[in-house]
Amino acid sequence: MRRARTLGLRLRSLFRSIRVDHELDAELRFHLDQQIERNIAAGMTPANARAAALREFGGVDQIKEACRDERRVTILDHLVRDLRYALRVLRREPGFSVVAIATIALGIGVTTAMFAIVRGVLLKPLPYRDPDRLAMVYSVITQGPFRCRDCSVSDAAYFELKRSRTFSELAAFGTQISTLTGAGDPLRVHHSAVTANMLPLLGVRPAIGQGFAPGDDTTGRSHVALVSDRLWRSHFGAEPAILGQPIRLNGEAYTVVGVMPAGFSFPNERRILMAPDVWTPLVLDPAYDANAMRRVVGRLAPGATAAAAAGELESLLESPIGGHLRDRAIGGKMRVEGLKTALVGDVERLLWILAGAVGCILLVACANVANLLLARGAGRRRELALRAALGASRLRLVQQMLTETLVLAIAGGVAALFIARWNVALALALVPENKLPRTPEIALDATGFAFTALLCLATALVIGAIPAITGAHVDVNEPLQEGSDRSTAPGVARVRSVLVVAEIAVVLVLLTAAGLLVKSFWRLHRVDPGFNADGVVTIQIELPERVYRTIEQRKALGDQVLRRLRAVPGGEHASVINLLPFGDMGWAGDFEIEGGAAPRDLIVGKPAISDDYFRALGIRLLRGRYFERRDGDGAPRVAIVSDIVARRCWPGADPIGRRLTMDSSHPDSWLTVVGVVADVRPSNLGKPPQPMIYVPIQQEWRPFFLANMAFLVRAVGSRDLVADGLRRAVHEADGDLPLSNVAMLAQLLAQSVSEPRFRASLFVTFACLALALACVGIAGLVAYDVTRRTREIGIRLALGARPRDVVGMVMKRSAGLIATGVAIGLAMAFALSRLLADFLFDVKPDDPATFAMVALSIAAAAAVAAFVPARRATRIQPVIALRYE
Amino acid sequence: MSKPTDLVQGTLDLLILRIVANQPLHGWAISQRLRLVSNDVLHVQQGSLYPALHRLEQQGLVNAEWGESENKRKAKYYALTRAGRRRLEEEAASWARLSAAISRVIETA
Repeated sequence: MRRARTLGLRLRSLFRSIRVDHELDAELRFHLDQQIERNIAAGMTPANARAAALREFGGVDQIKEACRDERRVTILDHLVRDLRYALRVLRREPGFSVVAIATIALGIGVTTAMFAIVRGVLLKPLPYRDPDRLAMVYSVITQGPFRCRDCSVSDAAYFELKRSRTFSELAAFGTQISTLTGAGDPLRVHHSAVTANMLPLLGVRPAIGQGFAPGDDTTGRSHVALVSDRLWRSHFGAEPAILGQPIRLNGEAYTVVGVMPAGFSFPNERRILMAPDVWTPLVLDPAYDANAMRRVVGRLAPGATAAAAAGELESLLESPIGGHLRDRAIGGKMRVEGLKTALVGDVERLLWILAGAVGCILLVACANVANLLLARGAGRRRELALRAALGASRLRLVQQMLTETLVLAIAGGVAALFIARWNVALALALVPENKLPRTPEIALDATGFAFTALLCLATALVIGAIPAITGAHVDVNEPLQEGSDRSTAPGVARVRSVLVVAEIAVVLVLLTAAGLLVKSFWRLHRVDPGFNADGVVTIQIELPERVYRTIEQRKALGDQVLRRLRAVPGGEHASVINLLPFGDMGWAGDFEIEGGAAPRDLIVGKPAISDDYFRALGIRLLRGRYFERRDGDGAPRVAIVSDIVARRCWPGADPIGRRLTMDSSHPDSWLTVVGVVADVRPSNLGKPPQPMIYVPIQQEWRPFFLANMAFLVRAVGSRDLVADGLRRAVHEADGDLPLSNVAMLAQLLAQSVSEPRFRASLFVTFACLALALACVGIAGLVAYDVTRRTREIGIRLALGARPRDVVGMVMKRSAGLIATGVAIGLAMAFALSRLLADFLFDVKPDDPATFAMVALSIAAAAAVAAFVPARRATRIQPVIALRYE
Repeated sequence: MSKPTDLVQGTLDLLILRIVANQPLHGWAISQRLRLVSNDVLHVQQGSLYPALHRLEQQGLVNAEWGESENKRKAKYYALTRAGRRRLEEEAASWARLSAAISRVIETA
């Protein structure tokens, strides 16, 4: 309290300035001097004249104080006085103040945190020069049933595109995970190869050292590298002398030529959300068009639009020079998308929905506090009437009550900053890895604080306005008369009811969203992937092209690891596959069958596996046989198809012995089907099972398809021991292989649904928070109702009403409010749940079961919240109640 | 010097407004002028005068400005604002009504 008072004094001296006091001094001194002069003129000695003047003048200080008092009637003085008064009032009712402040803090806290996230991810401009002109260039591929809207382009196509005039500059990049050695412990790093013009295009310069020289990406001999600020700090000890230091990436030697600024994380776009730690020059071959592996970013020329640019790029690929490209053959459509959209487009919708949800929480919090204030305002009518009688204008009363809510809101806002900080940290910790772009740019900075401050003011206005206006509307006489009815004006009661109805409706909307997402996640979680991941330990490795050039070398490595793996105690069915289900890589393509056309819409996964793979994953054999040792290199080529392929290609017929090929250009690539296995979902539980054609890894003849391998083994004993054995088996086979992580397959499976799980848990948290707030609000309303009607209830009890009747009477009103709230909420939820459609799996946005369940649980929770205070009514002692006034 | 008559609460404001209506004056001059015009009947204490002046200034009825006095000293001069003039007219009219009524009661009752 004392602190508040000194604060007030300081404020006053600050604003009302010393100048006024100074002028006052001068003014009074002038008066005194005039009087003295006159006295002298009348014949007094100067000393006498002065004494007489002073005597007549009276106490100078009293006059000054009186003058100051007259001046003190300023808005600021009102404010200071109101603040002091508000603090006194709030301190008098600590319970009320704590609940109100905590509620506001919660509402503002989550809103501020959400603002920081939305701002960092969606609103801030990208940290590049003139970022609105930057755009990603995608190739749109439609080849048979295969469709891809954001595909890469080939090296050759990139050089064709570079002739563009609508783009003032284009740059290409690729990303991979590499093993960094030569500085401390070996480390897996996100590694991006970029053309030398990339950094100038973005308008970013290294913080230390230099970027790539223009020729670095053409000769292929400049083995230079840039490292991220993060890597520089964590791995190089933030040593400024890093320039010129040699490092090795996947065994190749590079020289560090610069450190990028902190937070620089390009390339990152929808496909790549991991911030790179190392950049090296990308060396391109203008004649290479066999594979489309390059992603392209460009800066639009002044005046050029994305649509015009896409058209121009297509015409470039169509021109005589570009016409022969394979890129052209497989679709040739180009798509240009603003870099920011490319980066955050996927999460934009969800983030806005979440922001809306958080806004709902803030609204519920505001409604709650407003309700509390209204309830309290009713108890203060006498005080307000007294003040009005003493001459306070209505405006002054409103002002004073707004000051009170402002104090509450500011206290809540300060607490909210801590909650927000904690919330942001929590969100960043819980958000699934590499699912949320631009996380480094999320921060609670000055703008965040400003937002909080604004929110405090808005909150104070919203929650203060209703009680202040209804409360200030007092009849001076009525509440002052002893024994008059203390009930609130009917208007206030109505406002409070509306607030509670609104709270219930908003909570119902949130809870419906949570219910739908939970149900969706539950269904997704329960989807059978078609294999048994429990206890399966895996390791994924990438074979460096430099070391493993031929297919024989690759197969040999696979054999060596497998041989060691089979000896690991506690493991069984050791096997290898090139494309692990729910792993890092996935390939799909078309195929042909002998004596007829394969269904054109059938895109199949084409994994190469060792013979024990199906047993390791428990994938059932439906017909024929699994692969065996005899299906080796040189033996007749065989394939096992999944159920869908069998049914679609040879409906009603026996697929065993049929022939198919996945590369009809090679005459000896025909495979004979020897078995049919159950369908699996190898990458997305939310999608239908993927048709599969499995081939024995020993019969794979294209080195490219064995660039990645995953070894897996089913642990029957200790998983840790098996994991250790797996790691050792790979290391013993080739100690120089890039590092890779051992993972449980079940874990990879769970990671694939981490996003839906995160969404569902987020909404459940929000909804529970709002529900708790609303319940407090309802309980408060009923409790107040009971207090207000103490006398009436006492009379009823005295006249013989049973406690049950009293509870029923009190509850009846709440029941009406709850029903209204639920009805309105259902209508709102019905209208809004469609926004969630994209995020739902196997659940309709208007799922009746969810709606019914949510409505019932809210009604139940609200009824309980109302019942607790209602029961108190039965304990009213008639005698005391009648004396209550 | 006879005992100065106490001023009715509120009348001081009216008197001040009236006195500064002709020309801007400083506090000293206002007190002197009041004495002079009222034939030495109305004396105002500094303890009332200055707070009243500051109150009137705060209400926007008079303007205060620093100027030079007759004897070349800086003094704070008060002048009537437009709002002050309006107020003066109202107050003067109501005073006239009141005093006339009182006189009538005293003379005729």
